[in-house]
Amino acid sequence: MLEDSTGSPVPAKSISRMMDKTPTPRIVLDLHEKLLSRFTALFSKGVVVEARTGCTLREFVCEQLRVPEEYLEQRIQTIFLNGKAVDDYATAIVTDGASLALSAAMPGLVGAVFRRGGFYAGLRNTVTHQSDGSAACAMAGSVTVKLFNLTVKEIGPLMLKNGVRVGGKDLQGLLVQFADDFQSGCRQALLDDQPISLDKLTGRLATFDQVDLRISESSD
Amino acid sequence: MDKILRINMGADGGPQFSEGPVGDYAGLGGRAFTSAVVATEVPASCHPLSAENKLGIAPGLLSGTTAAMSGRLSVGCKSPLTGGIKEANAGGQAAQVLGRLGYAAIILEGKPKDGTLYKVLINKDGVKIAADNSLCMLGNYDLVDKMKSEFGDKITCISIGPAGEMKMGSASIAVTDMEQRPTRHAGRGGVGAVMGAKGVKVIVLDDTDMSMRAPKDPDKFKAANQAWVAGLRKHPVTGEGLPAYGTNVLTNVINEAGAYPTKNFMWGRFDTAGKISGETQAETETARGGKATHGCHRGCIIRCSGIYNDKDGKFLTKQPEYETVWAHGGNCGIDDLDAIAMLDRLDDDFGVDTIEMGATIAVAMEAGIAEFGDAEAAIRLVKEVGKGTPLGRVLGSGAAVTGKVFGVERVPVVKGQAMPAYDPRGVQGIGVTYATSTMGADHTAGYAVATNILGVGGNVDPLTPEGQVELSRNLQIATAAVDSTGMCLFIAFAVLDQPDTFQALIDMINAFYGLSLTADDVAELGKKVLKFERGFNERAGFSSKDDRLPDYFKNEKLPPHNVTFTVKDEELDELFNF
Repeated sequence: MLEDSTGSPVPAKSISRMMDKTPTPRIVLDLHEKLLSRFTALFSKGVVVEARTGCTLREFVCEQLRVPEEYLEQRIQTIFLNGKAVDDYATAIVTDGASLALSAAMPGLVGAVFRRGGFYAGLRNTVTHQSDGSAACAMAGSVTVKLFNLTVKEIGPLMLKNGVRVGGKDLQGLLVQFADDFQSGCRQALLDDQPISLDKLTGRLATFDQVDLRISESSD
Repeated sequence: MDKILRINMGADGGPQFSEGPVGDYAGLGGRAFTSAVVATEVPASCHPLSAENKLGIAPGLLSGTTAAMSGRLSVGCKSPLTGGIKEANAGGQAAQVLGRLGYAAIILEGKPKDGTLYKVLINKDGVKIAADNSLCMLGNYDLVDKMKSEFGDKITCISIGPAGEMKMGSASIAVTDMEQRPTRHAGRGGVGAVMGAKGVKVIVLDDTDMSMRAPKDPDKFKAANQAWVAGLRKHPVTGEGLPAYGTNVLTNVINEAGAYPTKNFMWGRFDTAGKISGETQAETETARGGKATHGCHRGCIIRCSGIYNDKDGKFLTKQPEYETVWAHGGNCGIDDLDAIAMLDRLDDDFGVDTIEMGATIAVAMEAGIAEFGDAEAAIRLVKEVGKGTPLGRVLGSGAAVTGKVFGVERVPVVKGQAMPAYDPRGVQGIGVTYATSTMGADHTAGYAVATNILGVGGNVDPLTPEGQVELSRNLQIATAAVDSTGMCLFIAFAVLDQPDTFQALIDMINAFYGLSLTADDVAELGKKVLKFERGFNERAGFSSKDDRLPDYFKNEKLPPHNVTFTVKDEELDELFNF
């Protein structure tokens, strides 16, 4: 079995990705910090993070996304793993190809219903995540992470600085939608380590299925 | 706030009014007041549009005071949509103003012998009722402008649009907001049609020179209100989430859960929901010079509403609510926020319930009247409603009628009222409430997540169907209690998590009225209200057979989780065993 640099087995899906000869384009944007909020739509749809999978949800969020445990415990009140509400992040296992969504507390009855381990969790028992009890098997993989509401502002910038994989057309859509903001707030754009104008980058993005995006921010 | 204004619209020689003490209704506010009036004074067998039906309009117990979040207005009658009892409520300025004018309720009775339309003015000098057929078929926006030109810019309006005049089953009653726009609606159940049947186009309120209501114990009241405000501000939902994104913050979460009814409840997930999410909506509003945080009445500190401007930066409508964005958006396959905002504006202007109208358009789309996702067609169909064309009359009668007319099997209604924005297969407990509520399918019927604080939580295993029925029952009791205080339901989360915040609410009521209510008393009030309502519905001919979801929710699997509604009928029948 193929292993990654940490000695973890590499799943078939990841092997398939590795065999794809075309490297994913790398984009770095040096932006004014106020522009970080413009990436909301990307996080709603979900960004891909290359990570060690087969770990608990707590380990994935706190150790790999580097979100403080206190934040996970107190701020993130609703979690979905593969579309199912998670009550116990210490036992839920994040596997390769998983989709993970994080949300702060939500209003209303349904907000209460989907709350992690909440009083009304029983009202959504058909869409509650059930841990299968199998042992975690660490391996390199990828996870789609979605951030909703307050978590976009609070975790989003951290993830953008660490780097995420997004759809080329999705990023292009944002750069077009907020073209004036990006023109005035983007100090530099790099494509595969080479400087490129924002206009040219925007034009080329549609030709990329996915891009690795990293943001560096400045406040002035 | 110790008197009732009764207006007999069918009196000989024209409408007559009288004022009297609250009598047996003392101590009741909001929904408790309107449901008690309907259950006591309206013959359950009457036609909802007949002279025998009554329309009660009641502020909450603390409306007209300095208590934060006390601006909810209840409207009650026998519903033309469901045929049962109805309470619909709205924010806006009216509850506060009515309270300061001293009224515990306005009750419209009888009906004019001809088709004359009336306007009612209530101010410090009393009540004036005048015929005014020039108001005929005016939209709510033009109507309010006309009233402002006639009565000045300090007024608050309670009004109906063309849909109410045409007595449509989806007709709402509009209440003006702080900017005197008719954006807040008592939407559900066709209450606007009953106001139309009474021949009342608009009630104009003016509280100029009227004072805030004074509490019996001002010091205790002030201290309790401060604790109340502090509790709401410190909670992440009422202090951060709702102000930042409004109720539409739910779109992404419900969609992720696979419980977001899409294209007339065919799927549980809408691929492009992110385009119409609360997060995107807030960004759009801010970028266009609108507001993502705005109150619907003075004294609101949660401020879950907003201002939605068009692409040119001009006011289009208030921030559409989650249910509106869903009904006209994902449920119709539409992911264009501007089109949804336009539909919201049209709904408010014609005076129709956004949930019922969106659900109806989706049923019409399934029937082939338009394609799912065709925003222009949806706008065209709502305009048909406003014009009152034959097609518009069908659509304005609601989803159930539209489904029958066009031969659609998948019609998401209970007791004739369209389901809101949560698929009961994904959130089974909500399905229990949809099925058994006295109001027809209604998400707010079990919205007050305060059962544990109210002591009606019980010892249930929520993972069993019995537990779901028990929880739904307790939620319905708690909601009826909160509705009766006239407080905005969005207080619920802070109340759920912070017992001291709930105690502050009770302390406010006690300090204001010189009472010594306990949480148990409040819970008992909730039970009393539900019994009033259930009793009326039974007399109107409802039975346990009406407490059911349409069969397809039990038979059709909802993607992506492929779940069905599994709570058994006999379990639903246990709900009202209290």
